[in-house]
Amino acid sequence: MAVPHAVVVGASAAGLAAADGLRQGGWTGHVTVLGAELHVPYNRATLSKSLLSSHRFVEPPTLRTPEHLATNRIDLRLGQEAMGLDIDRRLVVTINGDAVPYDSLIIATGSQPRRIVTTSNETLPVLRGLDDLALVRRLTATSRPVALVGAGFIGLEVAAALRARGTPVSVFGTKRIPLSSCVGDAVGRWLQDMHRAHDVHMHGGTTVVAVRGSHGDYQIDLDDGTHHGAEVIVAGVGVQPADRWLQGSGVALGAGVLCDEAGRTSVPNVWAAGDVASILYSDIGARRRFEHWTNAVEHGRQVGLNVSQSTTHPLPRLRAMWTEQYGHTLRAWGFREPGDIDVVLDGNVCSERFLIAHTRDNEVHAITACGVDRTLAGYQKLLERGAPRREFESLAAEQRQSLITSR
Amino acid sequence: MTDFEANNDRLRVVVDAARCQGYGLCVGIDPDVFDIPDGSLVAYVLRDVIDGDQRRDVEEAVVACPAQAISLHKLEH
Repeated sequence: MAVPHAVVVGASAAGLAAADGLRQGGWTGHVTVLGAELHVPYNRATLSKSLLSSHRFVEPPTLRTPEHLATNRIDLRLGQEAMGLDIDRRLVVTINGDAVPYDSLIIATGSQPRRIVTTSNETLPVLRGLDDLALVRRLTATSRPVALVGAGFIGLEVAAALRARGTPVSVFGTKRIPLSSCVGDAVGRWLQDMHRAHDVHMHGGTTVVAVRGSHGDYQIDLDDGTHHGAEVIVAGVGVQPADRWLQGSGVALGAGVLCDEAGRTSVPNVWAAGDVASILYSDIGARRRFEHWTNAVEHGRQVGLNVSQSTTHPLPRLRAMWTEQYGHTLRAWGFREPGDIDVVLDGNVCSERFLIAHTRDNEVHAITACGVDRTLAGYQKLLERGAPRREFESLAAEQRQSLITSR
Repeated sequence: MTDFEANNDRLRVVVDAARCQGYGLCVGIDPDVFDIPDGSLVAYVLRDVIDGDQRRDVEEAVVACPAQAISLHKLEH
């Protein structure tokens, strides 16, 4: 019998975790990982953080060592962007025209940034890959002021990183308070104040309707009728699943690759993991897509295990993310829902050390925390099993008590 | 390579300070084993030898580490 071949599309956090998961699950056949970029897979999370703030260009940390790939017999092929999929003949077609045969396929092509195009048809720079970092670093090498369109996690991280290098920065966000839907008003305001204290011009509650002009002389038109000049603009207005190459392939799509809780797509032997996967959780009857590092790694690994062990274990559903701004690391778990009440369980926002639960009645949907890393493990476990609010409150009380005793 | 097979070996936990980026995910997962003291840029191992029953959380940290800086090594008896 021929040796089975597992192909992972995407040399991403999810893709490489899937390759590891295959081996950990006992897959003895070939494992091939196709990467679109020519760079050895690197840690994307550093791009908008330390790699942008540092004065000199620093290579990002790699995701796997050559020894790891060799020991685990993972065949990493770079510069092989997937362009199409033939589900009948079981082939992935790459940009070089190669047709890579598979027995099991794991789609982990991640997401790509939404683009803003100026009225002169110029696509504004974004920060997603290593090539983007080189471009953004070059554009911001002088101390010319930079306008950031988008006040999400990336936009705010880029603002903080550029301020660390002394670049004047303006941020244009659609929300009145940045990230409020995700972390609540109090933490959102805290972030906003922190940026203002670092001389970032924060424009909130307005939408960019057009960007005119060209590099070195842009004009940003807002929906409140105001116009703002800018020499350099970087866009950070979210991402969308990188699933275009699958259009017409037979794999069901719809804001991502549709898959079940175990990562199975509509096509046999084709699985999905990471940002690209739109996962249906049958008990809540809703789809979830995750755009964060920790989830990509967990999901990639679980899909790799499922493929190699012929299991259908569900992909963990607790969203986990973190952001670094001005020396603070803010962490959040779960999905805060509109109308949630933000309850402080520990510390307070002014002290820059806090733990907040986002709740409705007795339900806790999410938590947001800063400076309390040593107390987080217990809360994550409570969120994972959907524990009621009083259990979070008892845990907080317990931890206060143990702090007093240990003093 | 970390061996994920269940067994009762004692293991040594190592953080590669050259790879660690100080993200602190490990501290959030297992504060008994990992810490980032105030002012430190990298994670410290508080307890570098662990038993089988402490293994689950540490293995979760190994997998979750964005910098792939944590490794587990079997201790020779």
